[in-house]
Amino acid sequence: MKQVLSVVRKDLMIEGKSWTRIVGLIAFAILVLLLFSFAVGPNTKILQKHAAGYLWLATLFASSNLFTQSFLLETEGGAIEQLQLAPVNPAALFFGKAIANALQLFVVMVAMFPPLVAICDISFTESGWLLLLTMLLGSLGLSAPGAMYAAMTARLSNQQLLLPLLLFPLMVPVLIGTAKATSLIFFGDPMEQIPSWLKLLGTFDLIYWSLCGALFGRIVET
Amino acid sequence: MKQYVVLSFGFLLLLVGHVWGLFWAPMESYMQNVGRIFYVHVPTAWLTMVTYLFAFGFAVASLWTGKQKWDAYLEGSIEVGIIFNILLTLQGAIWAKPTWGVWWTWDPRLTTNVIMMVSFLGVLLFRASLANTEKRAVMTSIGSIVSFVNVIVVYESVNWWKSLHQSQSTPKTVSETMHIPLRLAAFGMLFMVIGMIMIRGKMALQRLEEESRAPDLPSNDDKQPLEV
Amino acid sequence: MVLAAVGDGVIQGAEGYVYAAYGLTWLILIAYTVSLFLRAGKQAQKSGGESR
Repeated sequence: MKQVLSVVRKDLMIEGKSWTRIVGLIAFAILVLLLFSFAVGPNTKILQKHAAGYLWLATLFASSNLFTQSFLLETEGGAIEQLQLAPVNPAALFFGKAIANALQLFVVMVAMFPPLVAICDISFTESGWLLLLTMLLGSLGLSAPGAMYAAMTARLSNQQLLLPLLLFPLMVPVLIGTAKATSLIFFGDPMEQIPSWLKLLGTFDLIYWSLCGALFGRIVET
Repeated sequence: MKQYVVLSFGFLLLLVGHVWGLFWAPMESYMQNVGRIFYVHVPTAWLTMVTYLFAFGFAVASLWTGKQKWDAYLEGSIEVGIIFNILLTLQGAIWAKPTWGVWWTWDPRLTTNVIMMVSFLGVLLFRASLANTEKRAVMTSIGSIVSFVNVIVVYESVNWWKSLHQSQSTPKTVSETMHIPLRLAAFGMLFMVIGMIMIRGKMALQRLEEESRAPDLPSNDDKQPLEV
Repeated sequence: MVLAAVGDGVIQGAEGYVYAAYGLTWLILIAYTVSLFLRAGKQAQKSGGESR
């Protein structure tokens, strides 16, 4: 447990020292939002209707960059071998990385939300706290497979292509759940569907975290 | 040789099942003759999932024992699984057009099926970009185990969500007259899949053994004596 | 191409789809089997030729 926290602290400290990475990610996400709005056209009604989708798609694209970067530190200079030599439990490494990624992803989402409100003219019907919860569950759902596949494809020359390809099938359940829940939060939930979507998200989070945590040890060994 | 016998037996069973289903079985009540696609589509669906299940088993065995043969059969079953999966998707589209009116729709069953297909394709592509045999085996196994979650999702998709697609075909939900041709076709495809995996797996094993064999040192045996 | 005529709540005609489905299935299965056969032969040749 302590190891997990120290890995998280290490990663976040590195992030905190130079803001450029996270700011770059936020800028990229906002850029994606802008591109969506240009592609769809100035019809505010349509933008409003699909705002939830744009939010999560932009997050997805940004996350791919985030995951690739998160292991760059480890693979440069053979740091990962040193981590293996030090008595760090591989599971702790995984959970630490995944948590750090989730937190960063959450920050990116919160940061891109105001521009989204402006571009798509969003108004809230349900509670804003629910939105934060959805974002949190979504970040968790994305970061576990992300951390695992980033480790698996690290050091490959075609990682930029392979990582999204491998990752996106796994992200679809999370995408569907979060986009649906977010949409309901924006437009109202007369049939009380949000809890079941959040429960679905939570279930996938649990499955991904346990499965990836269990398998991560084998990945680092090779 | 065994594998070709198994494969041929499979083809034979499938042929009998299909002939029965096409010409002898009675028409389905709403879909009439179009319902006969049932005898291709349902066995293909079952076998796609069974093949991926084999892949899952081989993946676990490969991770557990580290033996090359499990990795070889894993490669075989992923490839066969993808072929059946693509076939399944195409058949589905052909059946959808006359019955639902469209070639495609974003329905839970169809969507999760595509995700499953892309997932396993990704694993295969990933496998192709790794040169180190041990790493390749581990990564493919992990990719397959994770992708297998999709299989369960696809299977249950008609129960978990409101889907256009009809629910699973069991002896209870399928009319009696359709049982035999369906079973013949299904077992036919099963034997075909087993035969195909045997062939493809053996190929992969041979290639793996070739890769791991130390290069032969040049010897003097073959050299001709110098011509004087 | 004639789409299925849905008049009485049953689908009439549209046999073309049935043939297409069956035909496609058999085509792909046979083609894949043949490809396996050819590739396996080539592989066996390669492996068989190398072993002394």
